[in-house]
Amino acid sequence: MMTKRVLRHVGIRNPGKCCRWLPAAVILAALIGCASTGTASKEPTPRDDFKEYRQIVVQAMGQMDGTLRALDEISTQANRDPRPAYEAFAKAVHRLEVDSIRVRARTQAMRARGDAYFERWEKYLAGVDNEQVRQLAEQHRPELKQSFAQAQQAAQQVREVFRPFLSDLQKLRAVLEADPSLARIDSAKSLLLAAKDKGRQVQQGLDRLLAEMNSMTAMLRPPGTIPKG
Amino acid sequence: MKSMPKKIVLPAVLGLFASLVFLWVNVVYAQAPWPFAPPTTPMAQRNAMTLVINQVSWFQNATRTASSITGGGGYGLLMQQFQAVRDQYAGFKSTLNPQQLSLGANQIAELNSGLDIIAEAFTDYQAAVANGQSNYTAFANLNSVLYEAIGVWVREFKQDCRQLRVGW
Repeated sequence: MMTKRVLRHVGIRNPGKCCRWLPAAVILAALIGCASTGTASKEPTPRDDFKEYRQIVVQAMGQMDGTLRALDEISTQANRDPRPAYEAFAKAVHRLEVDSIRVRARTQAMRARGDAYFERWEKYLAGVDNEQVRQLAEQHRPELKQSFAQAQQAAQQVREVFRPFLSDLQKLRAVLEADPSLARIDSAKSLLLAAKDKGRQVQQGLDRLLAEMNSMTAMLRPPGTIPKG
Repeated sequence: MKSMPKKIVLPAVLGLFASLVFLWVNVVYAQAPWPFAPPTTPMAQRNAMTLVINQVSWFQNATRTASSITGGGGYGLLMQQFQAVRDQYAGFKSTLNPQQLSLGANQIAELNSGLDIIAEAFTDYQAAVANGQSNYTAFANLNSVLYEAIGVWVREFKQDCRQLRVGW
């Protein structure tokens, strides 16, 4: 009775009639609420991790090639004027220090997260729009997992060797800075060779990593499609 | 079929209405601040993100001015400003909601690793000086590496924030 009186007071003369519409109004209000603040539009989109990582690995390979070439130039130019070769080498080391951050961060994260890292790739692959790709991912799940394990091993090799390689390069840069003469270069020969050796190991690791990523891409390529760059 | 008496229907409908409103409020405002944890509201996320970006700018400014500070003060300033970036980033992470933390786990791990890798530049500087490189060149190199490296990091950070819909 009390409620009826209150409803009349606020201008609703026939509360019984009004209440017939109340459930519908409640549902409508709930639906409006869902539409305006629902999670569908707010849900983060998974990052194209795989594609981006592959691109970063390819870039890292280019950086490694450039740095090792600059390192070779120091030995080649030792008999002439090694100063320009040293300057180019110092620049290449600086670029490597900065530009390698992304590949090193990803490689480190891959180790830190282990299988969970792969699960995110897998979720991404399972969620792609192309139904054929989704089916292929499901069909090749064990092979993909194995390939990921191989990629992880290759990434570990890169991670383990990269830091000592960079340290050698930095040491060489420090040693040759004041006097990049033939005598100095000659005395730093063992350091130079060690750096080259480690650099080759990093390259091998990157090659393996890229090969595994390519093989994963091939597994997920629908038959009859042309591979993109 | 005889309809139910209004005496019963009205309180029941009102009760249902109240329950639905309560449920709706709980669902929509599920990110309401927890009394003992930092808030995960979009505004808190936006603020924390801005703080990280601003601190990165301060750090980059420090890499430009540090060489003019004598007596090792420049190195100390860089260390301090870099630690401040780390602190702001830690604060930012605590504003992320469980869904963002789960979907962005790889990105967050990469950003964490990125900061660890950038921190190696400080030990590299010390090693370079120990290996005979002049303090001037080694410090200039440290500043340059830190400036560019944190630039790379913050670009990734912004991209990840966009992908994880931080502050939306």
